[in-house]
Amino acid sequence: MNLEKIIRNKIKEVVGLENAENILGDKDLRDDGLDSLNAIELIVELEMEFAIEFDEDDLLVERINTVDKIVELVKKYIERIEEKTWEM
Amino acid sequence: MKEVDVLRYFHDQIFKLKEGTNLLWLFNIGIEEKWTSQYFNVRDVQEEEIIQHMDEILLLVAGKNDIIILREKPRKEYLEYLTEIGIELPTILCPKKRDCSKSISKLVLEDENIIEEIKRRLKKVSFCMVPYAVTKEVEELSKKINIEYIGSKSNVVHKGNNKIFIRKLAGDIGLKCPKGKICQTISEVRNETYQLKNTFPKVCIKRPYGVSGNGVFLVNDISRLERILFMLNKQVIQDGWLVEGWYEDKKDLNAQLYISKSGDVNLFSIKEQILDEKIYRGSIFPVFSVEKTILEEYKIQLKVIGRVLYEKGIRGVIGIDSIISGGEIFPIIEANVRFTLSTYLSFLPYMHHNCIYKMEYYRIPLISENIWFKINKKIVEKNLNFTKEKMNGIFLYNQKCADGKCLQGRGRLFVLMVAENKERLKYFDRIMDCVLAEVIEGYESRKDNKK
Repeated sequence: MNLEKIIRNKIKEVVGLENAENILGDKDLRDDGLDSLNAIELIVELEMEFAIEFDEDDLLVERINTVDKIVELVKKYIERIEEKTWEM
Repeated sequence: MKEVDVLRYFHDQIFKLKEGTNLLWLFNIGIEEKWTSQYFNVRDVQEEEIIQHMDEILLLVAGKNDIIILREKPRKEYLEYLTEIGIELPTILCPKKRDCSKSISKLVLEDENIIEEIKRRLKKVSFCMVPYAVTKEVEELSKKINIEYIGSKSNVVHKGNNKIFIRKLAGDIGLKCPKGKICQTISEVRNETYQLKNTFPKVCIKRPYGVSGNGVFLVNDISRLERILFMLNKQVIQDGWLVEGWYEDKKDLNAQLYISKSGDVNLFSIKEQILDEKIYRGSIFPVFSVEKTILEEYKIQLKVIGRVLYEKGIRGVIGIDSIISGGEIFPIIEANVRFTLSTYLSFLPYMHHNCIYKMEYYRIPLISENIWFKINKKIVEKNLNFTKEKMNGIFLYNQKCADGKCLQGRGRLFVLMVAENKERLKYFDRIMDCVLAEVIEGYESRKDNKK
């Protein structure tokens, strides 16, 4: 399963957004129920799924309020882990 | 709206201040964010900005000789609207800086002009400060301008808002508490949750501090539990976590107490709360959905709680959240040793005894600068607006929270309904939905539009 598909599934599960598979990448998820309460769970779910850890600066609803933003953010953390592994 | 007796409601009836003392109101909401800064949290800056602008509620309670400090000057049209309703406006002072990342107390402390202005007024007449919550900054401000304030010391306020402290206190005095316990380790939280899930469809895990549902995690499906535990494990919490069964069939009540320095406990308001699961959306009062005998017993228990809180050093306004489930009273689930939004509107039943009041906010997209005025205009066109002649109707307030000119995203439309009876209240509810559907394209009924 590709990264975006996994993320869309997580949004569906945590935010309860039934059409998460089809929602536009730049659609503001706050209009569909994303708030600071479920955002925290979404971040935790992503951290558990991809074995990443969000920086404190990224713990803002505004950083994860569209599918595109979440994909980019997760990619950034995965790349960071890969770079660290490479350095070792 | 503010007739003479109502105008002096907080001053004379609740705070029992000396005649000639005026009030300096400060809406320093957001102290919980400081208390929870060490927790793993996700911030919503847009929402925080809306919350800060709820300060306009002070316009409804302050007397004409009082001072209120607001983040921004209200719109001229809004002030005119309030005046038409009969509200006598207080003096409004605003700090020069507009920075929602800082508390209003901090902004005032940093603004020499506003400090000088308050001092200048203090020379002529005596004032008492009424903050939303007593914080270290409020104490600093009190010293700086040499003014007394209503409430406990900031360290007592901090202690009193701790959910674990309150649970222990309720247990110590033998009051009924929800099933569950205080857990010190993640493994204890896991075990207790599994245990409670045998009896309750939902279990809630609470951190010691949090507001509006923040810090309260509902486990409806056990598959969510590990995610929540992973999150809890991200920070060390000295007091532990509170794990409780979630009572589905319940009435949520909120009582407002004022504990004076001499120990008098004044129970000045009981309201039924409108909640979206764990998020506060509004209040209905007086309470008509709970049997009178239960309400009387509840009042007795509240007085006991008030006296115990006094012994613990707690003073000033205290909001107590309670539930009634299966005919049983759980008199203190949480306490807010500070004002809450509903505290400010507690004076309403004193204005008109035979009415039902419902305050609630609706989530609306801020699609245009003037959306608040458009909605209000529709209500006026239907002749359902609150007027001082009718003393009932629909009254929109906190204009800034739904002002597309200064805020973005989804605002909060604050609505107060004053109705002669339940049927009329239901009618107002339906009308509000119709008005919103007329003004906002694609608006879904409030019942489906919880976020």
